[in-house]
Order: sequence, then C-alpha cells, then structure tokens
Amino acid sequence: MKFFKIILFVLTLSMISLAFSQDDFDEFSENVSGANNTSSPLNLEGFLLFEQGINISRVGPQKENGRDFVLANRKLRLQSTKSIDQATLNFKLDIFNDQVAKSSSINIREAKVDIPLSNWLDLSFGRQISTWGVGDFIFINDLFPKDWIAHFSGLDMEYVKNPADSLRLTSYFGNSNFDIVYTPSFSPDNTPTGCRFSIFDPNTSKLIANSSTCSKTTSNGHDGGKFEDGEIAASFKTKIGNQELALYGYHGFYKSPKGLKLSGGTLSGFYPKLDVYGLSSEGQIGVGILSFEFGYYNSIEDKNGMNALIENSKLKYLLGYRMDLSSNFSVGTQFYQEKMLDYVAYKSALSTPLIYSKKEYENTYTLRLTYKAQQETLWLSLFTYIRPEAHDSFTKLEIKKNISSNFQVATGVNIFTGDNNYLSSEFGMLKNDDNAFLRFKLNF
Amino acid sequence: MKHKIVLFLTLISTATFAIDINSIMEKAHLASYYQKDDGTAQLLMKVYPKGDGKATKKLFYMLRKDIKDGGEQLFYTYFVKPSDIKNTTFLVHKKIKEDDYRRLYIPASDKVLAISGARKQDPFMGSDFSYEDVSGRHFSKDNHKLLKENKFDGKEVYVTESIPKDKADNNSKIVAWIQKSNFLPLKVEYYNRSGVLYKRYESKNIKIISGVPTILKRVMTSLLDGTKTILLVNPKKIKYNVGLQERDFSERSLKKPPMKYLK
Repeated sequence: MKFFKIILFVLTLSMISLAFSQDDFDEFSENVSGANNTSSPLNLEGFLLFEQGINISRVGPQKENGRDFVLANRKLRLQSTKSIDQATLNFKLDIFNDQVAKSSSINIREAKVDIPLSNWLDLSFGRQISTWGVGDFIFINDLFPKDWIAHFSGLDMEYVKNPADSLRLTSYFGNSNFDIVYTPSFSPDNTPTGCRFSIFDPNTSKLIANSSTCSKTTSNGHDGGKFEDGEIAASFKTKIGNQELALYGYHGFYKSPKGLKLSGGTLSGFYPKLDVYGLSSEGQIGVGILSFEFGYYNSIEDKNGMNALIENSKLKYLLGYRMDLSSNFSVGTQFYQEKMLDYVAYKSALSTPLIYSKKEYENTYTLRLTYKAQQETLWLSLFTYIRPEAHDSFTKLEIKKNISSNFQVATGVNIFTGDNNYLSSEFGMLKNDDNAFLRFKLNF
Repeated sequence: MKHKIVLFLTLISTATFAIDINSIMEKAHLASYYQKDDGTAQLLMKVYPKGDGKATKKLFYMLRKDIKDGGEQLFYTYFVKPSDIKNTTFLVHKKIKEDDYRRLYIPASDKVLAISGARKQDPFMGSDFSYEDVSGRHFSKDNHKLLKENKFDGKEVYVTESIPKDKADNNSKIVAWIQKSNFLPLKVEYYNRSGVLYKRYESKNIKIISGVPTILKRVMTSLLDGTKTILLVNPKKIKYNVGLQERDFSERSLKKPPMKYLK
C-alpha cells in the first residue's frame, strides 16, 4: 500500500512539474522560424478576406443603374516561398469571388524567381510588383501599374500597386544600385471603366455607368505581342550622408488612356507612347523626412502639342515633408505641380470643349494624418488630394484595428468632390461615387 | 609628522580605490549594447495591454554590427510573425552625434520607406520599449552619480543615478542597479519630468553564451499606463562574432534578406 502511495505521489508531482515546466523559451519552438526551409514541403500562408463597399452618394449614374455595391470581394490568399539552391521562388495567389463583377477568378499576384547572379547582381523574373519614387500616393517616376479602382475603393495598400510580368536586374556597388525592369507586355493601370465607378464619356460630355465593362475583355491596344509593346524602366540610386538620390528613365506608354481617337464617329481612349526622365531625393531634414521628385514626360505621339486629343508633354514635380508630431500622431504634406509644355499649341488646338480646358499649371496639395493608439493595434488615417485647377478632390479616411495578431477589421470612406463644369477631371468624374467600406481579414 | 604621513597615505589609498562612476556607466553601456563585434539573435516580443488581455506577439531576427565600440552601429531587423509583417525588414544606422538613418521595407508593395530618426524615445513597434531602450542610450547624455553599493537579488550591484543633461528628455532621473560582476543592469527605474516613477526595466534571465553575459529575458513595465512588454532572446539562436559585413546592412538586404543569418 505504502509503495502504491509513493508511486502515486511521484506521478502527481511529475505531472504538476510538467504543467509548470513550460517556460518562456518553449514559445520559440511553437513559433518555428518562418525562414526558408528546403527540406519541408510548401509552407502555405495567406489570409481570408471579406470586403464590402457601398456607394453613399445620393445621385449618380451608378444609382441610376440601381447599383449600390461597388465592392464585394471574398478572397483567399495563398502564398509561399521556396528555396531551390541559390534561387528563391515566391508566389502569391488570390482565389476570389467578385460579387460586383459577378465573377470568380484566380489572380496571380506574384510568381517570381529571385536568383543572385553574383554577390553584387540580383535577377528577378516573373510576375512581381516593382516600386520606386518618393511620392506618397503621387507617382511621377513610378510607372509600374497601379490599381486606381483599388485606391478609390479603400483596398489595402498592397492592392493599389499591381504586379506585372517583368525581368528585373539589380546591381549593387558601394552605396549605390542600378535597377532595370523590362516588362515585355504593356501593363497599364487599372482605371475606372464604368463598372463600379462612373466615367466621363467624351462623346456626350456626361458621366456614365456601364456594367458591360465589368468583365474586361477589351484590348489595351498594345497587346499584339510585338517587341514595341514592351516597357523598360531604369533607376540609379545612391546614398549620400542620410539622403537618398535617384535618377530614373522610362520608355513605354501612358498608363491610363491619355489619348482619344476618333473611329467610326465615336471617341475612345487609347494609351499613347511615353518617355519619362526624372530624379528624386529623400532623407531626414530637421525632425522629418523631406522628399523631392521631378519628371519630364515626353509625349512622343504629340511632340509639338498640336493634337488636343493626346496629352501634351509635361514637367511634373513634387515637394513633400512628413514628421511625427507626437509619439501617436504624424502628419505629411505634399505639393505637386504639373506644367504642360507647348501650352499655346494646346489652347489653339482645343476647338471644342470635349474635355475641360486644362491650365498650364495644375496643382495638387495632399495631406496625410495618421493617429496610432492601443500599442499600435489601432490606426486612424486620413489622406486627401486637393486640386484647385481641376476643381476636384479625393479624401480617404480609414480606421483599422488588429483585434488579435491575426485578425484585422477595417472600415472607412472615400469621398470625391468635383465641379459640373469639369467632369472630365480624374476625381471630379467620381463625384457621385462616394463610398464606404468594411473589411475583415484573417491571416494564417 | 606621523599624522601627516598617515593622512597622506590615506588620501592616496582613497584616490587609488575611488570608483569612477563614468567608467562604470561606460562599461554597462558596452556590456548591454556592444557585446563582441557583431551578433545575430532571434527575439520574441510579447506586448501586454492594460488589464488581463492577451499579449500580441512578434517574432523577429536582429543583426547587429558595431562600427566602433560605444559608437556607431548597424542594426537589421527581419520580421517573421505575425504573417502580416512577415518579410518586412528594418534597417537602422545608429549614429551618436546625429539622428539615426532608418529605412523600412514593405515587401507587399515593394516600398522602401524613409523613417525619421528623431524621437528616439517613441515606442518601438508599439511596445513599452522605446527605440532608445532597444538600440542604447549613450552614457554621455546624462550626468551620473554612484548612490551606493548594495545587494540586489543576491548579487552585488552598483546603484547609480543618472540625470539627463537635456531638460527636454522624457526622464528627469534614471536609477539603475548594475551587477558588479558583468556590468549588466538588473533593474532600471525611470522618473518622468514630474518626478513620478513611470517605467521600470528588469533583466530576468542572464546566461553566459559564447563567453558573453547575455540577457535572455527583458521586461519593461509602463507603470502609469498599466502595460508591459517582455522581450525574449532565443538561447539556441544567439551568436556573436558571426562575421557580418557592412554590405549585410544595405538596401540589398532590405529587399533580399540574408537568409543564412536568419534561421
């Protein structure tokens, strides 16, 4: 009996000690390093997303068409990274159902291979997002595809940039790097077509909604598989002190249909040829970050500006400053100006007010306010563009909360203002497309 | 004459054995932030909210290279968990006489973001540790005094008091319990500009790793806010003198994390 009691006592003691033996460091074995593990199978990660957005304007073409929802995505993201010898394969796949376009699709957001060719040269090929430039939601030398519809619907920042099938070569030497991105097939921006956001119809000078454009099958005019349909972009960056300076070049096309052509009596948009040369600087000055960017947009198909249907060459430049006002609150502001070249030719060529008569200098002022609280689990942010000459503005307001490390809720509004005499301006044409959205995201 | 000789000898002996407080603070600074020439570590940060809430956890690797002992350093942070910050990288070139150079890389949008190095006392990643707590507060920022020599937690310590030279500093006074044998802080108490004790730091687990006394568990408690952060170092993955080069702390590393050090 005594022997039995001893055994029971020892067993109980060992069970109790087992329960208390898990010290802090066992947590490291739970959190197995997510770094590349060639021996294990694909370690899939991703998220599950539900986002819904409604038009909150009282009138407008979308409302006339009886449409309320502008956003209705149910998305499953699957992503993984795999090392094969020196190369790394990365893929990001979105399996999603878009209830507005009434379609389900698999969207490959990323499918690229990264190979270090030497210890100073990296090659990346496949579908990937490329970004450079120093503007905050203002892109001068970043001519990589953007999804403006995502921007206008309040989607996560990662969706405002679109991937393209590219070859990217980056060489590093000292404090500098030289980057070339070659995209064989023209990849334009995703701009409103009338499906979930109104567009300006140059044939009637009115705003229209068009649900037939929800299933995009139209050609962008440069998808004939020709060598000339490609784009090439390059940048040279160097660090001097705490400032980063860069030079840029781009050869390709305008990313949104900045040209109009007449065929069969109707005006339709097309993407004219474009070359851009620019430079930028960014770094800490005082307590904040000062950014400057400049670009010369050379409109190749309208070199002398005499064709009013094709955008003229322009000079574009921005100056921005952002700083923290306190440990919770930060502010950023930018002044952006576009100067149209050959303005006299443009004015004389403008025979009918198909599109609003642009000014020689068009300015955009932006303001970003960010407030973070609750140990950076709650974020409130406001971003606004104000364009006096275009008589329009666009304001995004978002509240995001990390309910737990992996579950996030976000809500917000996107508000557009415009003038009825300037309906062809990019934000103005969306004056009746104000929307509010709700997003749930579960990461795994 | 005999009196004078005794007095003279006493004076000499006091001078010889006088404790140089600045030397203690310098040794403490080096012991905490400049171990060997470089280091790699895997860290788990648990941020506890006010009340009984669950901690939010972040798992990351940190690479450090000393350009000069007590001087400039390079830090590279690679985030592993949670998955929404996975592969995000953060590069800091810590400077002494000017603000740090900081760059954050967001892989989902391929964006390199310039971050101001001002406001070193702001929270690091929403935790109770500030940037200064994580990368080091230089000992020349304060005027130091040795309060006493004592025993804390069974160990011989120096109890020091530091008053910031800059009156705009968040702290009006910092009191530290520094272990004599390894110059590591066992406890540090921070007083705000109103003279209230608002923050407390404790080292909970010190082990010798590769011959270096290493703090494996750091706890920072914000007494007025009721929040707490625990920073754990994985004892199986901490290494010193790995041979990190300056090029491991470049934009290339921001975009292409040097995996050989991050596992």
